[in-house]
Amino acid sequence: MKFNIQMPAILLLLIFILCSSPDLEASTQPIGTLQLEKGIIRIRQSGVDTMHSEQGKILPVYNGDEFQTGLITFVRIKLNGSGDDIELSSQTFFRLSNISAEGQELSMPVGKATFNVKKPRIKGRKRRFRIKTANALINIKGSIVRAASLDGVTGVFTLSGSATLESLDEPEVVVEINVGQASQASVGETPDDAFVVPPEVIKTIMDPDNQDSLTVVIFGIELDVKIEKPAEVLETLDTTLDELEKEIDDAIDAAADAKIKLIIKNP
Amino acid sequence: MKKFNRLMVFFGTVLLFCGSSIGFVAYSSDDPNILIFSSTHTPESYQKTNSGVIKLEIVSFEPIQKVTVNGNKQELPIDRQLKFEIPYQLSDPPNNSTNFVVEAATDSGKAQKAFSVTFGAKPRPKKTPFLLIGIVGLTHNDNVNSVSSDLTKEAATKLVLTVVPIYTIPLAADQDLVIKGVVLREKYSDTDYEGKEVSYTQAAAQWIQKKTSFGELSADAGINDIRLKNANPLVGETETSKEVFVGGALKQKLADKSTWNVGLKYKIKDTIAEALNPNYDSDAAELKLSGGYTTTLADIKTKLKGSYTINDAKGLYMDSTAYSTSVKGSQPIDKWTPSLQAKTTTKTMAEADPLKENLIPYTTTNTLTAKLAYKLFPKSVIALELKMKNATSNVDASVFDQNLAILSFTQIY
Repeated sequence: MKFNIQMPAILLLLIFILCSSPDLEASTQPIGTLQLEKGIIRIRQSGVDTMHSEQGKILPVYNGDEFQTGLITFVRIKLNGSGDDIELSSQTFFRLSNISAEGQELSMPVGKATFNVKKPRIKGRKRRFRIKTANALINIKGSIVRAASLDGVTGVFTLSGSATLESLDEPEVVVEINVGQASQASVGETPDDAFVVPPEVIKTIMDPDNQDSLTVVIFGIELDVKIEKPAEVLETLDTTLDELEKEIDDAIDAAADAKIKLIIKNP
Repeated sequence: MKKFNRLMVFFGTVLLFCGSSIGFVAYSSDDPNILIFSSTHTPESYQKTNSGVIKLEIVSFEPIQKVTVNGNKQELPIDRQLKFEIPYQLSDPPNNSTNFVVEAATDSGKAQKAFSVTFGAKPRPKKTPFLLIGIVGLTHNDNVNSVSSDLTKEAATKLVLTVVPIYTIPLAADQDLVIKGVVLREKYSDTDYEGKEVSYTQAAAQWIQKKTSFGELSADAGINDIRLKNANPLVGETETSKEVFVGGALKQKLADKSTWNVGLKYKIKDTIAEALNPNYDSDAAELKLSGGYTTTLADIKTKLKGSYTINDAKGLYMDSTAYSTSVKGSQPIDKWTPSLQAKTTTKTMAEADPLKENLIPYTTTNTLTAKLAYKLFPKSVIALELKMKNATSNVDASVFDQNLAILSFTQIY
């Protein structure tokens, strides 16, 4: 009889604990808002898909929400608390994986977005802002960053502040990308060294409707040639000149020795 | 009747546009709202193993009704978001490539994407095999004779031309053979110093294995020809020394983008001038161990270098050992690269020399170099360098102070 009384009490207590769990509370509370500035978007919330095409429409967003944008689409997501701002471009698939006070864990397997991360610290506490793409991990530190991901290639361009890029396959190499610099990582390879992006290319990178730059990621096939060649040449130049400096030093030392030998022969 | 005909043409045209438009909307051959992508493969992938798994994802505005890979229907649920993977086996060359053509269809459209996977190394991007570096430098030396401060110093200006042709022959995916030369010629503005003009020519071959479990491995061999007095600008008049060398080096990138390297070089030096006293015969075998470490400290690219050299000469009084250390910091700021380098070299002879007060001669040379380089164009650099050299020794004749100012222009072709 005693058992029968205790069971409902325990069940009630369990329900109360579950309902008051901060995790559960967090998943039911909006973590920010989404504004559709143009185009069309599909939102998956708790496994339910909804389509939206009303310009200027503001919707609440929750932890775990997934978004797919259509052609010529521009969506702005504002996150509560941190004030971080995410601008999704066309043909992007994006997920708010885990948003908390400690940091933002996002996922963008395909597409392009601009991330405006306000401060790397809130109330003295360091927080992280990470985006996982299909093949890489981007870490943003209080900056404005444009990122793109397609077919195992991730590109990052830093407009202000700094960011880091690391490959999921080889996370031991982390590349820091400072203002005006870009880098990209391909599947199975470590990220390229950061290089300065010419102003005419920045315009293309930042254009949310540029379909070409989506097709070929931000530093696409054609742009690749334009950007990487000078960087490659400069790297070759630096390395070669460095080695050459050593050769010339050796040559001068050898010549100095040779002069001494001549003096010894003809004192 | 004419009016009727015109109306028919008008409506026909409108219907044609509407029809094609309706057709486009109803059944697009490439629906932009269906995204097919892979987290493991790029559209053109290369791999070292002959098997693998391609992970694919498809997201769509509408439920995906059918997915095929190379025409084979995949058993997947009807959903707007799908994830699946396909294991595969690749053949040996020449049929070492496999294509995966993924097609997804919804009620209103379809999309297709192809992935090609190849068993083998990725072809290297075509690089210009030939590189030519030219450096023109104007050097002002305030103590051209390297005399001590109690003697009268003489200043001189020289023009230094350095040409470095480099030809790279790719041997394998990560392997290169580099043929290179160094041609250095000096010309003093004052003919009194003609005898000091250096003519240095090097021809060398270097084999590089880029990716090994130890890092980058290289081996090189070459010859140096050193002459003086460039009356003929092509080659020096006074044959001075010939050297043959072989060497090897290892360079490794560390996790934090810093690198370290170590190298060993063996050189046989044949001095053309024959010493009257065999104890001063400077023909020698030289062994040099060098190492370096490059890292970034507080945004400053820092290079630490060190070397130890053993000179085993035929002449008793020409044996020596030398060690050298240097530290260099540089920080590119836009197109400018300021740098500062401190270097110290100590050379100690092995035996007490009767010509030098029976002392065991040693010389320590400290050099401080400040350089400001400016990238004029992607392949052009102009630089101003100020060098302060101070040599101390237990032999009075080897003590001197020297200041050099060098203006140089480097061009890569």
